[in-house]
Amino acid sequence: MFRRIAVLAALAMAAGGCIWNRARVNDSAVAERAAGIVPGETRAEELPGILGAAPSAVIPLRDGRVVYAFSYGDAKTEGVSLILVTLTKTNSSFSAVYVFVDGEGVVRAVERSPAPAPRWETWPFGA
Amino acid sequence: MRAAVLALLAGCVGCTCSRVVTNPEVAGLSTAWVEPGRTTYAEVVRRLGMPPPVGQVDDVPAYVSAEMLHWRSLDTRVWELHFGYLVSPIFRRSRQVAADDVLIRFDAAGVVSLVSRVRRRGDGFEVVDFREAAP
Repeated sequence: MFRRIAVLAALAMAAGGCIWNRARVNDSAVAERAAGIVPGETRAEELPGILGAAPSAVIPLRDGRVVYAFSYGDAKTEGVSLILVTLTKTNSSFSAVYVFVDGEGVVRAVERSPAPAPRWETWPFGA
Repeated sequence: MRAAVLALLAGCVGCTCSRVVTNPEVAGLSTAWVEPGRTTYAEVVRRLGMPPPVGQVDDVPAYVSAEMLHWRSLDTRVWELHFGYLVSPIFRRSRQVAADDVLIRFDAAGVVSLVSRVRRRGDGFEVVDFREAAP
């Protein structure tokens, strides 16, 4: 009996464990809050208040125009740990809301990149 | 010699094989409909959406401007060897094994001047699409 328990315990220890890790970068709610931006009316200085975040990047364009990028992302890691060997796969997708502002500081357009949900996957090999 | 090899083996705490895939949807973007010299910035954004940042959100400026939109997906393999117990250095090696790049350039009027699409798998590159507007 003791021997069987010892073998089972050794197997359980060798099995290690599974890994699930999710990392969210910035607040994805900026995409919904962007609906509150009114092109032709909203000014650049109002953007942090409307979106609830500071821009991740400010991109100067021609003629004094500027793009404010509010980025966010989601990374999912799944894996298995066998004590000596650990296998993991991370799928990540990043997105951004881009707000185009004219030389007078007034918003002219709001665009966003698609926000696909990354999948949970374990096996790190293959295509 | 044998003792040294055994000591080295005993010091190996474990290894990790990881794969990190970023923005895999870029591989499926279609650019066949883009006509250099005719298609506009607005049409590209409407059909493809804006490019997502890559790797980390601070990378945005490299991928979006008035003259260029650049979509990029990455597939990286990471291998780590953990050695030692009380002090445990990690030997890490990573290699990018695949990438998809879609680059669209615009002229001063906001019309597509160049569309290119490159696919990398392992050590091989394939130019899937490369078209420029007539001068």
